[in-house]
Amino acid sequence: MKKDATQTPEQLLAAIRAEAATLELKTQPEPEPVPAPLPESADAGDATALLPRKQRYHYREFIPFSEEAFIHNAFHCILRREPDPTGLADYLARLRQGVARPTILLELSRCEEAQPHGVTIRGLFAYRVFHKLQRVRVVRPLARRAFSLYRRISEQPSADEIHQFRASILQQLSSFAGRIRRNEQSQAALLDQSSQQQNRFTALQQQYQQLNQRFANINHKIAYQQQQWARLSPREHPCGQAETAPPATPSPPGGDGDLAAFYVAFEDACRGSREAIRAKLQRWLEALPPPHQASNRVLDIGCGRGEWLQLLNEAGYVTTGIDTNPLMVSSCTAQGLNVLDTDTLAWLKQQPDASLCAITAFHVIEHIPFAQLLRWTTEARRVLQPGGVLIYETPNPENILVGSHTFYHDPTHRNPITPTLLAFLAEYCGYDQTELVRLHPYPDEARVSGSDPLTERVNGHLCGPQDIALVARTPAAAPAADEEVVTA
Amino acid sequence: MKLLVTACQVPFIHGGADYHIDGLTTALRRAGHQVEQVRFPFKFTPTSSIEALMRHCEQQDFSAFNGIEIDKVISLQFPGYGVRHPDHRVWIMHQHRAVYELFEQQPNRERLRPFKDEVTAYDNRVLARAARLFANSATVARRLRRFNGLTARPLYHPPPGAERFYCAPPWDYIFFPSRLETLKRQSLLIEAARHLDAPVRIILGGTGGQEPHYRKQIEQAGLSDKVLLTGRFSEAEKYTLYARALAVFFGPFEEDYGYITLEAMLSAKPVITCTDSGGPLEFVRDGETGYICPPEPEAIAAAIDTLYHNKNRAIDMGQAGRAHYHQRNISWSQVVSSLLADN
Repeated sequence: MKKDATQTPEQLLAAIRAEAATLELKTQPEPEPVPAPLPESADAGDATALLPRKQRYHYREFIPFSEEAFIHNAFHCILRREPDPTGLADYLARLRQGVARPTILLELSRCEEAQPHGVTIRGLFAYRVFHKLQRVRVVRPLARRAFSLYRRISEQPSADEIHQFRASILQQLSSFAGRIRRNEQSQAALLDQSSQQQNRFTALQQQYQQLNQRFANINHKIAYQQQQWARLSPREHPCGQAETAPPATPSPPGGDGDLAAFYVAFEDACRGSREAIRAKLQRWLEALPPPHQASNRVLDIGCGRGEWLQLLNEAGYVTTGIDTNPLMVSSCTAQGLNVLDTDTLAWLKQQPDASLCAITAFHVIEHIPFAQLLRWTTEARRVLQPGGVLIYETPNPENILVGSHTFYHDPTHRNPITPTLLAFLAEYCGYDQTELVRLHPYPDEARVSGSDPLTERVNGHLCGPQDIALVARTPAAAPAADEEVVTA
Repeated sequence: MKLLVTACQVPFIHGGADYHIDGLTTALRRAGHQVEQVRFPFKFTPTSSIEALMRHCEQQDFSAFNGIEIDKVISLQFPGYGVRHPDHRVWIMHQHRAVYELFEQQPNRERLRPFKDEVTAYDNRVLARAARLFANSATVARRLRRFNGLTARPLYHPPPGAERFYCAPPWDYIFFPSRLETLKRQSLLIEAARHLDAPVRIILGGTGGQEPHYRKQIEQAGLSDKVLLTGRFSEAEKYTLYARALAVFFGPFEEDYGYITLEAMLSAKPVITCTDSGGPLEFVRDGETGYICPPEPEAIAAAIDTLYHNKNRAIDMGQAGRAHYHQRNISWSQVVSSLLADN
């Protein structure tokens, strides 16, 4: 997260803001001053609103209200209470019969209940006079005319009132505008919501389709795996030439997981039984220096399922297996064997001089480039103790069937290695007592019957040993290496 | 105790002074006292309004209101400290600076002189009546001694949110938070950016009347890729701006106190200040917790370059500054016990 000179000040500030956003603060920035919104209830000019409570009113203040609101206000202002249902109904009826509002105000302000509140309604004087005069029959018509004249004069709104009225209308208009705007906003929000829901629905549909697709794929895979299991379940020697199949494991190119699995399956299908393999390997124990002489450490390259390592352990050797197939490694580890998934050459280079008594590789060298084989052999020479043994077993191409056919059962085989090359390699790298051991000829019943030279020749090339092993030893008395010898 | 705290109020203008006044009130209440604030509405012009307020304050008897006795009055600002009370503690935030240390910079000095004389006489008279006289900082105390011949004890208080400052590995920028005003001298740092040889950025935090001017200065000097004006920033952003800075620059002219110095120290950042900066000089130790430079762009640029090229040293200086802050024992409880002490 270093913020260095390559950053613009804006990028720096953005990084600072991002970090600040993660701080937990109780107090947050002081808000930008915003004008306080008008409370909803403050809508002016509402015909149901109540007048403020005061001691003096002018009767004109009661005129703008609807009939019902007028009665509510009259009770509220003069009697300081809500109208009782009877009172309300009664006064409403009278209003509808044409009784003037001032009359009602006058009645209310004169009634006994109103007296303790002492509220005055101005402008009712003329009404009082009129009421009194009305009782005198003679002057009644005159009084009526006088009063209607008075009303015409007195009820003309003053300039102030016109202003107020206009202001109130404007307020109402702006309040209506506000309401319309709010409605529009909420409508827009609803529209927005519904389009969002539409989008969400489409997205869900897509997800559903994708899930369906994945489900179908998984079903397909499960079916395939079941097929594989059926194929891998125990079966005896499905390959005709099972004995020739290598017990060791090469590195599947590129560590490809599918290939590794294939190879395990291939080997499982083609290898012999555990006992058969042990029996075949048993003979090599005799080729090794006894475990109590100097080092008792053995390296097996391409250890596969570890039959040979087990044999060695039983015979008292301390073993290391290397295999590049992770499935093989985990299988060996599960048996308690010391097996690594590592590069052989690198491992060899880490070992001290003369620290191993044997290095073995059964059916491995045909899987690797020759340059690598040369390096292994050279490094093994250094690591092996004096008199230590190097064993490479590989398919024998002297047998024409092996060289031309069975060798290629294994798709990871590169090329056959001839006995001549093996022997020269050992000598070149400084081993002596190099020995080539030919193994596993075809059974006698496979041979062509007869003993003439041609038949011998045919049998030799077609039914002879299918495997060959190089057994090479380091010189027994190597004076230069003496001080380096590690005793176990 | 029943305590009154007096101060000014300038409607709709809020800043460090409000934090100071409210902070004191809260601290006094926490200490178990009954406290109320009395705030006098104040405006800088016309001077006649200030004269009227001085007269008004001096006429106020705060010893009792409607039979409720006030135990002590604590005044923080001119001209509120003119009110009368037998146990009046004055903790001067600052005097009316325009007629004191800033007088020489005033455009209409001659017309202002009678007013200056009146304010000085007022301060001499009313502050002499105070039972105890404290100053917000040694800088304020020094001015009081120089202009009024009065002795005040410096009394420091912590900046707002003191416990929330933190320190993080520095990014390559210098932080200078302050209102963008002439007296704060952002122009010095902008000018210094031209002399920098280190690839550090300058972040000027805050808003103020000089914003257009400083913006123009940055553009004209071609420093838009080096100097950034953040404008208003949030409280959380403040802590991070401090925490990630390589150093904090605070080089105003004759600052009274200056929370910025303390906030930088709390964030363990070195402070670069100037020899005439007032308040910050009471805290920054040259070469130990920051640098004190002459108020010249080249010198400031050199200090920044040094810190950039010696980052570990910059980090150490910041740590030393934080340790120094804690040594000074700056806290509200310390303020309360000093203000109310009776001996």
